[in-house]
Amino acid sequence: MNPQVTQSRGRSGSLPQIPTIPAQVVALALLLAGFTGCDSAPPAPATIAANRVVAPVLRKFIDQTVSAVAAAPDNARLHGRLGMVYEANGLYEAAAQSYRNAASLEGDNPSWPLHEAICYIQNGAIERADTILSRLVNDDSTFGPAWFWLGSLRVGRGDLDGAMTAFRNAQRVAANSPAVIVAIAHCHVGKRQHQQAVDLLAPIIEQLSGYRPAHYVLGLAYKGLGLRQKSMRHLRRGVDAPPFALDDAVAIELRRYKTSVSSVMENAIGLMQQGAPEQAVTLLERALTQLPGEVSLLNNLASAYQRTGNYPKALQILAQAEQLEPLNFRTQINRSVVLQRQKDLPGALAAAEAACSYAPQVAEGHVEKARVLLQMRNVDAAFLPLQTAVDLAPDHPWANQQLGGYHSRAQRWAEANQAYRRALPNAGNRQAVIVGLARSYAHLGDLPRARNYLERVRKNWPKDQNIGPIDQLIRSKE
Amino acid sequence: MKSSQQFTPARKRSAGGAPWILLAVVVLAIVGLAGYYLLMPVPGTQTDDSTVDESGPAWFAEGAAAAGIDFVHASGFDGKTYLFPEIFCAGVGVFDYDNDGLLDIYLVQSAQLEGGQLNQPGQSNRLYRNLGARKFQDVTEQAGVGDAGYGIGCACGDYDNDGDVDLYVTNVGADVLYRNDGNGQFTDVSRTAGISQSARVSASAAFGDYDNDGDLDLYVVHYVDWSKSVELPCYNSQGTLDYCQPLNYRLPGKDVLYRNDGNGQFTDVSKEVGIHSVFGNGFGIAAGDLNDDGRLDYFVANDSDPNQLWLQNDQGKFAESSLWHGVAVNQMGDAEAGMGAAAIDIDHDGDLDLYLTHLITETNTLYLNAGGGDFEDRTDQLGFGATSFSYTGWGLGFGDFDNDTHLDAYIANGGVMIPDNAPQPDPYVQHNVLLTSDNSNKFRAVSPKGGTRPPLLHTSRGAAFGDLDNDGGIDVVVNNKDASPYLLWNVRGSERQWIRFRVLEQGRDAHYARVKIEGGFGTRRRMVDRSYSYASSSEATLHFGLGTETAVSVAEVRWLDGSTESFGPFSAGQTHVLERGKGR
Repeated sequence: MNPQVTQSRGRSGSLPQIPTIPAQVVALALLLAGFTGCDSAPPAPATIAANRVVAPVLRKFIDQTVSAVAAAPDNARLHGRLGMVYEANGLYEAAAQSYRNAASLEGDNPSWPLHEAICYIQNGAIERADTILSRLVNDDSTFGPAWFWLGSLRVGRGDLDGAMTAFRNAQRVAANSPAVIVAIAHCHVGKRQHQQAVDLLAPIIEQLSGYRPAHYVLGLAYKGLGLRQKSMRHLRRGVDAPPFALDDAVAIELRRYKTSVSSVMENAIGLMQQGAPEQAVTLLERALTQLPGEVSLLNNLASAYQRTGNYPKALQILAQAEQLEPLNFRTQINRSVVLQRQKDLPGALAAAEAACSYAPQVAEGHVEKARVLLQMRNVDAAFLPLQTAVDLAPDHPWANQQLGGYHSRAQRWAEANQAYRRALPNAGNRQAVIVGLARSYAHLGDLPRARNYLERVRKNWPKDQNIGPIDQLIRSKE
Repeated sequence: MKSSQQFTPARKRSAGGAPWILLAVVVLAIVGLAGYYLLMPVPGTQTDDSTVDESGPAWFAEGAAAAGIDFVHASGFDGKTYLFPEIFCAGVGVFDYDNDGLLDIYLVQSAQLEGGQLNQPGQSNRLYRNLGARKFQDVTEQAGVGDAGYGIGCACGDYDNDGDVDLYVTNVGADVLYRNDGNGQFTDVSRTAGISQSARVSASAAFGDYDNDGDLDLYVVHYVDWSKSVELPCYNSQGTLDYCQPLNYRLPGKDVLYRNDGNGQFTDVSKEVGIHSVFGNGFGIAAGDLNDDGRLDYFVANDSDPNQLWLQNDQGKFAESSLWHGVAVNQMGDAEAGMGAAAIDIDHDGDLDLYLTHLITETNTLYLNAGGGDFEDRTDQLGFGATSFSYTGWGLGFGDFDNDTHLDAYIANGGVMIPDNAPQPDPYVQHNVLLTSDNSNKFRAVSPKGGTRPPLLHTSRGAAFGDLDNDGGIDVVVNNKDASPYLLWNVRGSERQWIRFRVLEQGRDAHYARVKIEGGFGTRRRMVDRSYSYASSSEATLHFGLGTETAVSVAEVRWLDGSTESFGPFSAGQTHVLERGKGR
């Protein structure tokens, strides 16, 4: 996967390539779902009223996604995707129903009820949201995004102590998230604990220089301490601060389903993949004249410029994106990639670390951090982000491949083998993974599998220099 | 009308050409929450939480039609073309134009923007004379106040100190000043008085004696320098055409301060006093001595831009001081979509606090005055957050609607963007909200919604407040976009004791003078203020609920120049006149 492209190619898939299914099939599926009425029947896809006026492109997108769900109504992921399509386009009631459906099929995935709660919040049903969020943190006290949203709800009720508790729990799993740090500092200001807020923010304010809420809250804290000059400096920098949250993976993915931009992005990404980044630039520039504040378009434009080799322009575009949405994790990923191209590895590492702090529960930031560290030859330091990425995305091909290599070098063959096996489904016929499997199976004494993978290496990469040593190893064990 | 609560989340519509709703949703979809860091909802539904109990007693009875109010507002929307002013009209005024002791009602009409700013014949602003016994008569033609401009709001005040209340109408295009001739008729003196303007969009306005020379000056809030030629296509989150946000136009207005020259004419002194130094998408105004230095100050609620706080110095100049004084943006630094505004002493500590209504997904925001005009966003601590983020608020008024000595608040709501599961035929309808408080000074929503049974559902905009039937209960008039107005008769006021004061100087209502009374309930303060709310004008006479107390020993007036004068004792259940120089 190329991390510069806003659309992910990971296990969550790319922009929906959903097969069109005849309406009769959908109707039949809906009918059957309605008739069965028993608890065990998979849920029917959530729909909006037929007469609801939406743009044709959105209607088509919804219809396609509903068709896909109707064809596989027991697929939680599809219900979830339908929820994302609705949520991304402001159709919160249908989105909440879709997430409920997904949760009924995949009860151990907290993202579905989290987004059900978010949709309730968007529609003003705060009590319902509170109930769900409270349950989520009760079930899993390490689910940071749920703690964050719960904290926000408590702030809205004037319960600053309760909010502080929630934000601190979020901090346990997202220690460096600016959103969480500022939320805690804000609670201090609300409780007139101005010095505590300053102690929290002042040491890191320069690291958060693009993050206006941090400045505004610090300005309020200095004001509370009677330090007018310092206060005004930060208040000015913080005015008109955008909102913020601790993102989860679904929040990040669903941005791609906004129909206003998704079709443009899809075309642009296609052009980039076809080796025509200049055309992608033209397309995206044109779209941005209509949607100047659309950060997803800016991120892809930066990616396109990066592919043309125009790194300064790419960084300029990313700076625009950061102004609009300072906590956008994708912007930081893209910045890291551009800086890697410019051989500014410390800068690239800082950007990757920012991505990790903005979205600590999303694998891609950790992957990018590991990528930079490996380029810096700091292999041991890369282990932790690789492991974190794999914990968050167990079948991530690149992270597992690197982890396999790391364990191989330490001759931990069982761990290496597990990593390569996890990589395999999404890595396809990637040379390093196949070689790694051959070698690790050989060391583990599973000689039939070792030989099988070695044969694949011979067939596809006959000049691979590992063939001889692995063959020798197998023979020595026979 | 920016999209999305306090620490607010939603947002942010980016500046410039993009469809604001779309962008709001974009961000909301991304971040979501609300309240704080995102708190709140986006183009949400009009319903708040389904668990809300709707079983409480009514506070108001709607009776517009029964009273003879046949006005129907028309925004002019043709079902196809979304013209910006259609979404933020219109206001309403209550004032006693004929000095018969009964408040009359002036409803602002909008009608049609096509072909200039002209209405259809008959679709003009309307004046309804209060006949008593809860009956009204349309006297527009006799009174000569049927302005046919595309109306946004109105302001009232006796600018010529002749003892009767004059009327200013804000429009898309030229505003109108009607001089009350004292015989039941008005004269349009816009041109001769020097207030005639070029095409702009005026919203709220306020009469007040800023230079302390004895006559009322006029502050007019300008929204966007909109005209049909700058209109844009904007889209909501579902990709369908909808109204734009102000930032799309990049044409914020400059407000105007007219100095009353005392000879029937006004002079635009905006540049001279510094008001022209800052632009903004202004909607609401809250005036008063906000830093207690004996001079009139102005606060302007801007839509999506930081607000403006114009503090007057001893040279008669104004300095924009909102950022340092904590009212430019909310507690998280977010510039919210200011609509209506009010200056009111919510915590009874002697200084004026500020309350603003905002867009859905934002909270309405309370800036508590910590002294000297230094404000803190205390929205959540006083209960205003959770009660507002599901609505787009416009007109508002604080008062003691049930005379229990504690402040209540009525908020008029109505959407500006087509929401999820939009109702038909009007997708912008929302319930209004009635809030009540108790000894804790924390506000909570009253059930049933808006205090009426059944709850009313229209797209409300301006709201004006006053005791229209002189029964000791504050009544409310609400102008609803593309619908009939509400005339809400207070049915709770008679349950307890009350007292009212008309505060006069120069023979007219003493705008922005403050009155303090004390009793077993503690200290209560009110300010003579017609211009709070949104594009509307309310009764100047002050109303206090007294609970079970039957008298007030002393009423202390703090005149706008900071001097004080005491009056009393007074009996409850009456309206008393406090005239400057006749106290002690």
